[in-house]
Amino acid sequence: MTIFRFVLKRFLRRPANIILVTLVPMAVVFIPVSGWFPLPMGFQYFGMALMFIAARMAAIVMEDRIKGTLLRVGLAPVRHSQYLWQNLGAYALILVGLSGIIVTMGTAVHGSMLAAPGLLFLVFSCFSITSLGFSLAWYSLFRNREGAVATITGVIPLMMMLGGMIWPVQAMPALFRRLAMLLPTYWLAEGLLSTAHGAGLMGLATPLVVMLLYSAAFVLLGSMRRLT
Amino acid sequence: MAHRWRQLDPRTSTTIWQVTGLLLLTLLWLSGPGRVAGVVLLLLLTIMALARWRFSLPAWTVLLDQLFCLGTVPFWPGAVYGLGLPLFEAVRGGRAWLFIPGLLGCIYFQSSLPLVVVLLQAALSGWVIRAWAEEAGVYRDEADRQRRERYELESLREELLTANVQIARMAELAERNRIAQDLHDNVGHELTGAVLALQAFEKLRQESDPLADEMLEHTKERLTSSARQLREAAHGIKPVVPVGIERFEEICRSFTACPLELHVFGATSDLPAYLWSVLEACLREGLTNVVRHSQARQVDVFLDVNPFLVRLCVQNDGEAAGKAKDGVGLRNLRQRARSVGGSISVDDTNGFRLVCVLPLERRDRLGDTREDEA
Repeated sequence: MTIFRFVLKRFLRRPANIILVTLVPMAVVFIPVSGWFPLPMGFQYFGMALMFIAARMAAIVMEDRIKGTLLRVGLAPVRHSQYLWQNLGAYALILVGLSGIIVTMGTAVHGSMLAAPGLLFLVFSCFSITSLGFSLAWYSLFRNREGAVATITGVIPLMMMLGGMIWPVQAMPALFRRLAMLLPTYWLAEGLLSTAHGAGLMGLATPLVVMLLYSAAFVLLGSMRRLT
Repeated sequence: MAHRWRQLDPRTSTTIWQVTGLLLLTLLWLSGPGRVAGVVLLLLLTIMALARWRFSLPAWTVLLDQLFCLGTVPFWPGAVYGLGLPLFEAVRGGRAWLFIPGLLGCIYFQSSLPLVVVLLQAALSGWVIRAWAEEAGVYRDEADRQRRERYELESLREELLTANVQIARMAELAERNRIAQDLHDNVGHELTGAVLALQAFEKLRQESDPLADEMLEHTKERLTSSARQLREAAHGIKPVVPVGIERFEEICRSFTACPLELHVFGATSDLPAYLWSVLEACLREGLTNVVRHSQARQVDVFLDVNPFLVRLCVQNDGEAAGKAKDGVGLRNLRQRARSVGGSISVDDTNGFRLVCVLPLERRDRLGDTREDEA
């Protein structure tokens, strides 16, 4: 677990990362309920924050590739899979921990308006892993870090909009409504809405399973060992 | 663009086919009534395709793909077209019989003409890519075999060249040993006898012995015999064919394509025979290139020998000889020069210049036994 500990330390020793994982997400907790979304509005934006944080984390993996760290890891008695899983594990731990903190704080701030905080935590945890996998897969398609970061910064808000996290999917044309179902953000919105409408764990099974399937697909795509 | 087409291999084609298949299935889902079940099926098929792309999955895993498709058909009838993917994989893997459950499912659920066309196309694509992969494998193996044989031949050639140099050195030492033995056994004995006779003559002359004149005659005979034996030995040693610098000069004289000037610096007599063979080959190659590839008006040959190395430079003022730079002749020369620790370089910036540099081994390192014998 040396890599796991190192990844945690490396991420948390940068002040910019601390701000990214604490101040920005925690700020969304205090946004009140408004508009069509039955949950406090901040929880809509927390999904987007999770995706951006995951993108920042996966960018570090890409930096390892560009700076030649992966090449040195290849020469060390460590398998690529160990390196990858310990990286993803450490980042997933941060994101899941952050989801727990946000849901706890949300419960404290909004009280009973936040229905089933445990299920909310489950939905956000699954989406954290999906976001991490998505970012990893996205970066694996690029050789240039700047290009990858620039495009993913534009793609995440688009996914949130198309997925029904900014406005309801019912407001979009029929074709877009169908297309939205192919995005992981749609299933996050679906999970959050189901939770808000009082669906139990069984009601959440479909969004959770689909998000986990997306995670598996993204990680498989992003785990290809590339040294350059 | 042509370069990109050359990079298209069976593996890439398989990926392209699978991605296209999944995209078409997605379009079918977008145009039909299927909802969550379709998304789950698409994700499962994508995961299976990615897993096959990343890892070497066993052939039986196509049964899982078929299970996913057939399980989704009750919720989304279009899922039956997804069976094209496992069929493609089964045929590509050479185990078409693994598609029997899918085939039975097709017959049970829906056997429309479009489905038959899709399945036939999938099977045909899988078969073509499989045959392509097999053919590519055969050619790759053949290329590997030829490359390995070529490396072995080049290695053998280098070993032979090295052995040639060693044999030349051994022959030189053996010949030197034979000459020393010859001089010792014949001329040496005669000269020793002459010296002893001279000493006896000196003593007899001091004593005014009448045998002194006879002894002097005897000494003269011995010295005459020694001179004759020495002359015969020298004739026996000298080769009939000229070697060394004489051979060099002869090659230069026989070159008539254009004026040639030979410049020699240093003591060429110190060069061992095995280096002369390399230098001669370089000279011949340089002059042949002049005749074949350039329109030279003047050729200069420089042979510079110093205590540590010998440098041969054949240069002409003709046009640059592009073909001569990487021909078989030069490659062979490079190998020969390498076998004696030297190098060959060419320069075509101003005319054409062939430079051969060979290191000289010091005589004391070569195993010269003259000092030991002394």
